[in-house]
Amino acid sequence: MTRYGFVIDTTRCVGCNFCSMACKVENNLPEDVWWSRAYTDGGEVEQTPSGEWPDNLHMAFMTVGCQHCDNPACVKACPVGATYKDADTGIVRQDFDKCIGCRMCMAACPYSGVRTFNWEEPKYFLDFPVGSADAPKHQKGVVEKCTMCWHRIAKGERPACADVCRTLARHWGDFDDPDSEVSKLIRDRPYKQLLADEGTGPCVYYLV
Amino acid sequence: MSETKSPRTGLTRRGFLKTTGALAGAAAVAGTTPTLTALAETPDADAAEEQVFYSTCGGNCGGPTCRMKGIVREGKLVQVKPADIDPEHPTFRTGCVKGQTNPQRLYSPKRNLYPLKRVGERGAGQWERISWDEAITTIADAMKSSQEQYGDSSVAFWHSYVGGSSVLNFATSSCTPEGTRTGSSVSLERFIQKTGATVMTPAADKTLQWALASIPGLAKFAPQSELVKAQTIMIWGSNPTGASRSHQNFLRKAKENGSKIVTIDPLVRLNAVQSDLYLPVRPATDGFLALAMCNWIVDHELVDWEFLRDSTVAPILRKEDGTYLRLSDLGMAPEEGPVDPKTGKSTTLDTEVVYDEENMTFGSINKVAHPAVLGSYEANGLKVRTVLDYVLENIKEYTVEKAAEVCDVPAWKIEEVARLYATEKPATIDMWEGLDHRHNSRHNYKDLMLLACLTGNYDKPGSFIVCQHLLEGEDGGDAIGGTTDTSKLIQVDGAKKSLHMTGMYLHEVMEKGKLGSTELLLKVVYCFQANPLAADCGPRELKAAIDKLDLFVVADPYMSDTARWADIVLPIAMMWEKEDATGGFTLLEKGVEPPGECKADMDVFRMLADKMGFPDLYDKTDEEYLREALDTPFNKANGFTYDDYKEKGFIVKFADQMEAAASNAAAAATPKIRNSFYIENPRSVDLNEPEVDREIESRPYWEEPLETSVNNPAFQKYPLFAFSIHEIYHAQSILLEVPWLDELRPEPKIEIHEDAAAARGIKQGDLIKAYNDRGFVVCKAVVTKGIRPDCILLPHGWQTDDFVAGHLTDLTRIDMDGFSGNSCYNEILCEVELYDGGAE
Repeated sequence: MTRYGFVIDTTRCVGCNFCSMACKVENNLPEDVWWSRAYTDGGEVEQTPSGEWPDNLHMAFMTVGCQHCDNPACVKACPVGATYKDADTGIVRQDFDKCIGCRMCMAACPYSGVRTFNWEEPKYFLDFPVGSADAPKHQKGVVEKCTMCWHRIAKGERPACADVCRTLARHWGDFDDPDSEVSKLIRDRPYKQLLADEGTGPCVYYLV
Repeated sequence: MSETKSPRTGLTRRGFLKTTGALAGAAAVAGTTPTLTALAETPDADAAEEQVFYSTCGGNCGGPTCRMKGIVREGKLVQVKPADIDPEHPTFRTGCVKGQTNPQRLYSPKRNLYPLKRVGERGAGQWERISWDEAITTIADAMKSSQEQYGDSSVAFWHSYVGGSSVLNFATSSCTPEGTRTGSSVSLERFIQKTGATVMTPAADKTLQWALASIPGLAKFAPQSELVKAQTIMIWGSNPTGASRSHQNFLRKAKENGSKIVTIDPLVRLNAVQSDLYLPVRPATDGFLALAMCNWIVDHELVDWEFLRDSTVAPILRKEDGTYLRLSDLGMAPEEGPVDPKTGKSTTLDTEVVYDEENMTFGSINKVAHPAVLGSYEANGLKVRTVLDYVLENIKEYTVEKAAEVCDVPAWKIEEVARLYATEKPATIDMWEGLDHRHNSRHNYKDLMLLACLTGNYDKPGSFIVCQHLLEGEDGGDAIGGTTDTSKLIQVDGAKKSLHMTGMYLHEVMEKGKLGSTELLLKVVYCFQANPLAADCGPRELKAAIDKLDLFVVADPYMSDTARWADIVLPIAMMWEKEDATGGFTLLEKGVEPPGECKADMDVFRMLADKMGFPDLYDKTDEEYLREALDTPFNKANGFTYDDYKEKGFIVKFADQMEAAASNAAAAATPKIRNSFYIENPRSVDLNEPEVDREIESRPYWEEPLETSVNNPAFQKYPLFAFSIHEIYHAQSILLEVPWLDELRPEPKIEIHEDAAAARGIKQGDLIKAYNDRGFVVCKAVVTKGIRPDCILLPHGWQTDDFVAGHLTDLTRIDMDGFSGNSCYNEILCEVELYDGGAE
């Protein structure tokens, strides 16, 4: 089997949002929609620290999108089966055409901010689609989130965010393959998972 | 799409037709694009609906700009993404959050689309659309009449950096203290040679450029991959986790290898948090700190005498007038020098003299094996002493105790950093240009070179000062590009001599009609690839100076703050809209047509030349210029020619892929340069003729800053030091008003320490006003623990419309460093208060 996911090295991530923007453009995301964002673990505002100045400061970054959980709360919550876990890849997928816009998945998902509900017809700054021509079409009245670049993986490519990181903080691969880079990384390095207590089994591991 | 000629047909799109969005989007397409029906009938055909082009992001972050891959569909640039990864070199990556926004920049409604003529008051935003013919005729007539009446130099071209430098369009100026200026772009240089017009050069990056030309050995830059060899890294004058893109990879590798990391910076960014030791130094006192460390190292006998003797200027004998003792001073015959490769003849050198300790005689520094590093002597009636002897005596005043006070850093930290740097070796300084924006900045380079040379931490693996922060770093060393040679292409028969000056002297020249003692009556200024009214200093003086011109032309893709102040605005094509080449680094491919009536700078210069009466000035086509510039012997041998680029679009090569012989030969040809911390002949790059006090300018020294000093009486009224940085989302004014980026950083903000904020009743997100006697700016506050309490961080690069009121540059002063011509961007004292929203 295959179980795709990400390993993100928080000792390397500088919170630059390069990966977030790669996703934004590749998927032609509408105005104000981001499927992944870098968050500052530190002060109240992006790129500011917490702690005591000057010698006891803390700051790190977490890039957060859909965690593509092994045991996804969203799938259980979806009344129409629009959200499902793809058995072959482990990717948590959505069928926009089936989605009825009830937003139960958003309520059930413990990772706030990774989903967007399109209350209105999606708006774009440019009058032509950007990014990949086969990126998913955005629709009014549906919930959307990171697809792990399904359209790319289907072509044998890797997610748009996977290989852009200039600090080599982001890794993508198959956790079911013990020889994969991601499997090795979580064997060798201490990591944390977001809200591991929720029992969702997130497939995004944050190296610490 | 018929205009584009890429031989690469791009991506395969098997899933294309399954996507309803693509169907809807493609329905409107006509012309040469295959019809949907045709595609549907041959679903497996490699649809030619996408083309791939390579260019650079053009974001002017300070580096040579990243090479990027552009996707064009239906004549539109729809995606700009990093260049593909070379599987053999997986850590070579390009791009950043900014570069991908090129589609929004190209198709922004704020683009200038047509030539415009000012019809209202200057700066009032009232324009009339005019034809290119009218615009060029007006400009050419003004230039001709000005040159006839006031001389060739009365017309000036004012540029900054924007696109790095390129063969055709992007101007560059490299100025030396010898008074020379070197430029390489065909468009500007041929025009200057033909007309004798003045060049107004950038005021940024000048301190480092001046220092490189003034201090032998400083130019030994290290690739970022060298960082991992250092046991101690002092991040000093750089923003590795904000302004640099790949630097953190190397810092973390070093850390993973056990290196100690120190950050010296008034501002906290991730690198400071992740450092073993953080020194929040008071702004403008870095040189003092370096010299205090030097003294501590000398006092604790941690000096590398052998390195000083063999690899630095330490043993050279200095005469009392500050110059070096040379063979001719002693009546000794000159030494045989290397063969001049141009003439094939041998040369002679009047080399510097040292004292031979073994034989107790004087001799050439190149001949004496054991020169004295310390000592005073009398030579042929001249009082001389070694450079190091002179330098060490004169830095004694910079003690750790005083540094603790001046730099406002605890003495124990200074001592600990000095100890680490001198003992945990190889140690390095990891610097870019972060210290270069004050009036006393030029001295820092002498101070840091002394620190590096005293400890032997220089010119060795893992030991350097300036690191290539902005290149596309790779674990095995920086990628290698080809070369570009336009030296013959820019030569015009009967070339006229021209003047050049740092553009920011404009106000002085307009006031006095001269710079130094050189008469200069400027009447027509053509500003291009620059936005000084948003990104430089002293806008009040600059605007007043511009008012005195007969004609001020701004050529820009956008209605920038500077364009708003123009008499005529010319709409300029951006990256992806014109073919060019930047260095041998990359071909800049044209992927799409420019919008409206935008033209490449090269085309504008061709039109100007025509109207000026010399239609043959540009004697070749763009392609001919590019071919000749790129088809150098090196490029032919290594696969970087015009045809190579046209075939492949993108070429990246690494040291392990190059002919070893070529790089070895290049290394062997470089003569040994003794690393220096002394400037024998301090000079200005400009015609301003500053007074030269050798006691200050030659040796390592710390000078009180012009404004940002606690000893400045104005400090009582304006107790906050203000400075700005290059950060993640933009560097200069280019990447503003990009909606995607605006969703991440919607507005300019001022960072202020929580204690300073509390003392002024300022809370997170409040609108605040930073002000001094020169002006003010209003924007939101970021209350943070991550900055010295006596400092604020101003948001550089934003433009007038972005601020609630005022402008960041209104706080800046027009004065420059009189030697390097660098603007004093960070010589700002100010106060901050809650903004009451009242009329200003």
